[in-house]
Amino acid sequence: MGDASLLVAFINVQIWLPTGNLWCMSEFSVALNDDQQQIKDWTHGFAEDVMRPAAAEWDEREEFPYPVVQEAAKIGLYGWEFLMNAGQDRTGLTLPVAVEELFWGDAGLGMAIMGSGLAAAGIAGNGTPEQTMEWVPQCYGDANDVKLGAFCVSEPDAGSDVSNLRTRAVYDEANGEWVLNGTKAWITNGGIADVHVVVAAVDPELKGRGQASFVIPPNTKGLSQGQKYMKHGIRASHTAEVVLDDVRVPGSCLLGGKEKLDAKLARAREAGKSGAPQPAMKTFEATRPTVGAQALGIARAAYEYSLEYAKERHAFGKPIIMNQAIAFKLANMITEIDASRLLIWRAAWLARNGGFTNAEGSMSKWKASEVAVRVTEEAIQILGGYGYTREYPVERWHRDAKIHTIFEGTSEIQQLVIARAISGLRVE
Amino acid sequence: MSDRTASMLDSIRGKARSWLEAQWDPHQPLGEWWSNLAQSGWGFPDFPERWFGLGLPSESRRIVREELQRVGAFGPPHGIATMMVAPLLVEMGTDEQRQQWLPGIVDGSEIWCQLFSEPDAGSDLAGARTTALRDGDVWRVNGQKVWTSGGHYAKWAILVARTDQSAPKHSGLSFFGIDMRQDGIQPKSLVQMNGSAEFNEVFIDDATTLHTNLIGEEGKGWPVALRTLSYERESLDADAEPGIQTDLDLTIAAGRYASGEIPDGSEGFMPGGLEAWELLCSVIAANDKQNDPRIRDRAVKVYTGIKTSSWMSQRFAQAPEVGAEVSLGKLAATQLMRDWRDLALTALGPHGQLLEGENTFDGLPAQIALSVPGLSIAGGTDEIQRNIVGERVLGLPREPRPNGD
Ligand SMILES: Cc1cc2nc3c(=O)[nH]c(=O)nc-3n(C[C@H](O)[C@H](O)[C@H](O)COP(=O)(O)OP(=O)(O)OC[C@H]3O[C@@H](n4cnc5c(N)ncnc54)[C@H](O)[C@@H]3O)c2cc1C
Ligand SMILES: Cc1cc2nc3c(=O)[nH]c(=O)nc-3n(C[C@H](O)[C@H](O)[C@H](O)COP(=O)(O)OP(=O)(O)OC[C@H]3O[C@@H](n4cnc5c(N)ncnc54)[C@H](O)[C@@H]3O)c2cc1C
Repeated sequence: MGDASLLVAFINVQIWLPTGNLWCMSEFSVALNDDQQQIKDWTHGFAEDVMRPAAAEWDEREEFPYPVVQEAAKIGLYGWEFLMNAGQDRTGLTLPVAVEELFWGDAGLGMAIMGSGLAAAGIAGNGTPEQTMEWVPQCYGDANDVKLGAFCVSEPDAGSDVSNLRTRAVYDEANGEWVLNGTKAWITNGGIADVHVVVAAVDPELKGRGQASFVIPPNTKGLSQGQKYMKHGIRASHTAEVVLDDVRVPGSCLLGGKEKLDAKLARAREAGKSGAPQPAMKTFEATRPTVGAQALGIARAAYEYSLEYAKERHAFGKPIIMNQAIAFKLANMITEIDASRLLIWRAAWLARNGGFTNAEGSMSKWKASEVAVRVTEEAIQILGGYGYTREYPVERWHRDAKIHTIFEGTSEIQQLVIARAISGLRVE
Repeated sequence: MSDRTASMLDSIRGKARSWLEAQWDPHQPLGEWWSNLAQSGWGFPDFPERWFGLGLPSESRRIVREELQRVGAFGPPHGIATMMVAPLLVEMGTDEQRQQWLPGIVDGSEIWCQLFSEPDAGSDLAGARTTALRDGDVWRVNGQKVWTSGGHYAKWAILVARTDQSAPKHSGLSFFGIDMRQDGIQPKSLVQMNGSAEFNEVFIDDATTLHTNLIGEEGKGWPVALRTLSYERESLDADAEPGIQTDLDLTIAAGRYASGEIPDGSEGFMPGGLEAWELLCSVIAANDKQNDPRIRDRAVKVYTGIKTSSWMSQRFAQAPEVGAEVSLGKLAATQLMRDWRDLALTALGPHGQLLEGENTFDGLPAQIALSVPGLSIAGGTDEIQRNIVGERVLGLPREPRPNGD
């Protein structure tokens, strides 16, 4: 399974962390280089040939699409190696480019393929190299035996505000084990994953700085799936509660190790309750351009489809696009889509080249997700009655789009993050 | 409103109240309750006395609706038949047609659907290609319709068909009533965005309808269709009752429908008027967002929309005649519903994505979100309403028609 030295490279060049200092800055360009173009074509091919034809069926079935994920694993699209290769692109653009194509194919299936990535990022971002090597491959398995990862932060009472997690992790000195209790909500792959990464409060007093991340290995007693959410959109992606009932894991499952945690807690206690970034937040901020790229893929799908439709469909003796009411909608859609892509690419580049200054990651995610909701709704309108039926894909794209304004920070939270970044003030 | 009108409306309210208080019995089977309402005239008080009404002004409907709610009674049948067909028959039908159809409409025993849109003629309804050819006492109908709401359980339909192939587009159409329960008519359900299958494709293969079912004159179907559409738009405003009547079991006690115990076809639709506001307030409060200034700001906008929409529809109800202005009411309603949806979903966060479970309000806001896009399409799209407002309300030059028709 995998090549350990590559995985170590992955740790060093994680796309999730602003690692600009490790490398000389790369040029920012909106022209894709050969490698990027190749990955774009390759993911597009998969999206068109495998995902598009399967999309309606898995939306209807509302269950995890193992066969599709297996196909993705066969060609190397589902797997840590893919993320690692993407991570080696110093411009940061490879991942958003690939993700846009996947979500152009289908958002539900796309989430099913991407879902394990959050767990992998949580491990790589917080774990030691040894932990990363041990657990990241287990989030994926291989084409013959697909495995899943789940990243568990949100709770029923802590969605937007993750500094107040109720899930507790208590150290049992006698056995050298951590004991976790609590309920996680809205978890992608929750309960069906092989590896769950759980963020829990070790010292609740310290809020975000008193939290730590734990790996829960496969088949650990006490971890179970709560309710499965029956959603509007991205229905091929499994979302459920995860219940932790006296879950015991060995000390080695604490990501980053005990020494590092103890030092962090000591620092935090000294500094008092500080609002410095917490582990979960760090993962979120750097993955936002990728989430934006997901929304972008959906929006582009809807735009392309409705453009073709508007040229073909005749009413009052002419193609409907010959009405400005329709043509201007489409002009607006593509302009907003392109604006979103530029924000996403800039953010992805910044994530690898010097880091964010004005919450550019949040800007890109906010813009792209809102654009996706509006564009897909306009697409329904352009298709008229056909747009409102399940016989055509645009209604599904609209259902799929909305979630992107909610998860990984709602639109309101993105605005809050941006407002804080530009003002330097803790706007509440 | 003048003092005289006000006192007249008060007196209508008083009479409606005493009749309802005396007559409403939740144990009465729905069919009997509806007949009772129809016979008394209180079901459709604005219809002429001769035709199941009391000859009162159209505002009396709103008053009766409020009184129905007050006593907790189930309202009269509500659907294409009552919103569109009945007023059309009263205005343009023959006495024979009124006698044939109105009784089944007002007592809810016969559901109607609307065979207008075709796969290639939606906005451009006058481009309809379904044909009707005269054959002695009957017309033979062939073609295909689509998006026919309730087509799978309707007993009757209103139909727009081409009766003269050689005449210019708008003058070759005629308007009929037609029996849906015949071999030549086959509805096939289509699944909508909200997951329900309320509308249909309808395949028409040598179906027949009597010549006496022609509404208006042969070749003069277009103005009849336009009139019908303006009734439809009038009933799609923000005060409108949600949903349309489905094939309810008339033997079940009316009270069980009134209490919501048994579905009545309004499920998943945004409630009308202030009920929509109350639901929104509950959603906001349940999510502890009532003190969030941005939410409050948007809520006030929605409330303003509900009130102005409601005043607008009251103004239409007072107008001596419905005109193209009703398109304004429909546009205001679709915008309002979008604002309502956007705010409710913001307040609900992820719960707004769920159709069941805790803090989902039985999935109603989610259902509404899935229905809202359809409202900007059904009954004439938003773009077509704007064209109508431009041309017929503002008097702007007409859109160029390529075929000069
Ligand atoms: C401060 C200022 C400085 C200027 N300086 C110069 C200058 O130095 N040299 C110069 O040559 N001109 C100059 N202009 C003129 C300017 O270029 C014109 O005003 C502009 O091109 C619009 O033309 P118009 O005023 O005739 O408006 P119109 O063309 O009459 O347009 C009126 C409205 O109709 C809309 N409209 C027009 N056609 C369409 C269509 N096909 N579809 C949809 N909507 C349409 C327009 O968008 C506009 O809203 C200046 C204007 C201003 C305000
Ligand atoms: C929920 C629902 C229920 C319905 N129920 C019924 C029913 O019971 N019976 C029935 O007969 N029909 C019904 N319809 C059909 C409805 O009336 C049509 O869908 C509608 O008139 C639009 O026609 P279309 O779908 O063919 O779209 P098209 O006419 O093809 O329009 C496509 C797009 O082009 C735009 N467009 C077209 N012409 C112009 C123009 N001149 N200027 C600007 N924009 C233009 C439209 O606004 C739309 O955005 C229903 C539709 C829905 C969604």
